[in-house]
Amino acid sequence: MSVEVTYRGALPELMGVSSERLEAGTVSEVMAHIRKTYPRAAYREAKRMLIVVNGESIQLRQGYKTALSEGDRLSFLPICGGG
Amino acid sequence: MKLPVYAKVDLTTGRWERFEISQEYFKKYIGGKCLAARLLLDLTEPGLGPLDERAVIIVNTGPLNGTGAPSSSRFNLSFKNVLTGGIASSNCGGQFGVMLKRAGFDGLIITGRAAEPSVLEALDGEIRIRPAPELWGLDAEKTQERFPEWYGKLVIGPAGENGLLYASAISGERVAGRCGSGAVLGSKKLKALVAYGSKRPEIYDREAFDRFILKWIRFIKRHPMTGQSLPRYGSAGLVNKANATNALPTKNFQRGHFDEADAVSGETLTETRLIRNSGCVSCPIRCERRVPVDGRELKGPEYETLGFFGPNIEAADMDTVLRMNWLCDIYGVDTISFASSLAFAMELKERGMADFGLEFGRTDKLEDILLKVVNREGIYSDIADGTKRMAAKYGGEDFAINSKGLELASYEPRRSVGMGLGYAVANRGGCHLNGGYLALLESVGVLSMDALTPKGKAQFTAFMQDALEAVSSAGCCLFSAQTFVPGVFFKLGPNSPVTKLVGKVMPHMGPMVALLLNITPAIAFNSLLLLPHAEALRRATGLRMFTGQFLDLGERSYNLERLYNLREGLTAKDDSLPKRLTRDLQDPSDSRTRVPLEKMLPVYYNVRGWDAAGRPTRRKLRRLGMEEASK
Repeated sequence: MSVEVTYRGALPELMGVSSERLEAGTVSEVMAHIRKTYPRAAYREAKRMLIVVNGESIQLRQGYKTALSEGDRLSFLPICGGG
Repeated sequence: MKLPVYAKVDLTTGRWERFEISQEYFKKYIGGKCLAARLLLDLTEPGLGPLDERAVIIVNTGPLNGTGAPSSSRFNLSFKNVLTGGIASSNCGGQFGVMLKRAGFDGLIITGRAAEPSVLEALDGEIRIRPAPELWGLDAEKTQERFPEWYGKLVIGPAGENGLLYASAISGERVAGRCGSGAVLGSKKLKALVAYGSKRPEIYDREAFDRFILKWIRFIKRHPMTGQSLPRYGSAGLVNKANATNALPTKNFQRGHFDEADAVSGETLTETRLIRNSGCVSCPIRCERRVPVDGRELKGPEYETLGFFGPNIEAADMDTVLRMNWLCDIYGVDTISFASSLAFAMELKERGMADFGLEFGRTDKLEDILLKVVNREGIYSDIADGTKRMAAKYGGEDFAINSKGLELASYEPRRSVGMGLGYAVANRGGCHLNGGYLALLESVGVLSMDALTPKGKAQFTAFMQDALEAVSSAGCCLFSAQTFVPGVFFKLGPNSPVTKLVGKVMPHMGPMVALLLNITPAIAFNSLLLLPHAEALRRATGLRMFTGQFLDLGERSYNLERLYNLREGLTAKDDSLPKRLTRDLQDPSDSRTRVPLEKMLPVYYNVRGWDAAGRPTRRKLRRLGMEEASK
């Protein structure tokens, strides 16, 4: 499946890209791509982030096992706080 | 131990007197909103209208204000809530509180009504009321420019003068936004309060205090939330997170997700508009966003303002949000209540029930309408009264998004049901912070306690409410308490099995949390990890203040405010939410996506030690050492 991935927060600086198109069937495969392609610090940071598929957190789906469909949009977002 | 000194000011006569807080009150109620609630109970007669001449507004500080403790420039305003008729407390991060203390006053108790627009000056231990008709009609920015730069200022804009029920008060660029403090000050013809002096706050054990403060600041700076996330994104960073969990109010809370939300997100704000971050005096967190508006560098919007001028009116225009944020601030208008009233007006139009010329998705008329509302022109005067009164006139109570009359904050409680409970029981009305802010544990934080189960929510709500009340009463910003979620979870991330497991276990921890609240005398230690404020208070005041006593302080505050509400005629029936949130499912295919208040309220009353009618029992009040407060 071809999916669009957007990196926010500290990731663009660590990876040198802010978005890319990938072939991946699950969120795990996207994580594997990051681990293989980018510096270790980028993978560590990506693991700490909120991962969103088409605007919805993977926590509400199947976590890393969340299946991806053609054209899905993934975002890596920083964890924030406030009130 | 130095006892707090207040000034009691009568604007009608122009007289004032010094008023020393008794040792008993200081020990029990400390300062800020807790002490103010007690004083309001003592000094006001029941049933008095919030804008009555004899109504009292208290502007006060806590013992940590101005001491150099982190995030300690917050001061408090307590008064009868203009929107709800119950109690109001409104908190502000401007310089006024610190300067008031330097002027030699820990608080002001203001009553009466000046004969003409006036200024209250607290300068070097003296109070003076002087007429200032030339200031009336000026916006908050121009009003403040009329005073020396080094003064602490607290002013109202035209909204307060014209009696908008949700008019705010402004100190620098910081706002005491909620509950109508601006309307109360306006009704007293008090356009501005200014303070200046050179008195340094007395510290019981200065050396030990300073040592601890340094340790605390280092801890705040190292914590991923207060040291990285908040400085980088501010509260604005919550937009995308809330959207990802369907907890971002959209189209007057019809939905919890907006496809275009990223256009008004904290990430977009940081990437495209942020000039620099900044912060209040003595705050190491520096969550303020400095952004360009009309070619000037100004304070940027908080999460609530982004949510309400964005997704909740189905709009995605960052420049509009930045401009509305600034205009509301200088006119003295609470962005939450105003923008929520706009969303309600838009839905009324959509349903053919009323036409204010407002439509979802359209932002072109907002500035014009803000001016009409501020000036109470024609039908726009109805918007100036907030959603509860609009619904009484036009109908639509089921989707007028308020509790007790105060508009809810920007967390969709059908995806954060504990937050829903908090909104319903909050003493000042639909407020997330006074409600315990469970959204942070359920839907927008790193931990993800099951957001849809009622299990454990009553206990966590009571605990969080008490903690936040105590932090506020001490004189600190609630953001300084965000270190209570251990940094390790941010390092692991929300998708780690450990973080997920903790989220799963949390709803089952309710009985443990309830037990904790009942054994506070046994919690005779302090920890940087939980509520460092207790240790700072101990060293600043010399009082026996450990985490247990600190939680007791919060519980006293919560019960005092509840007693005030009961005295003013509010009942358990007012612990409610509009039917859109309790009856209608956010996701029709998931029966859990509503707020099951009927399940959580009885448990909450029980945890609080209240009877079935939501009244604090004699036993509870005795335990808190304030049985006489209910008389």
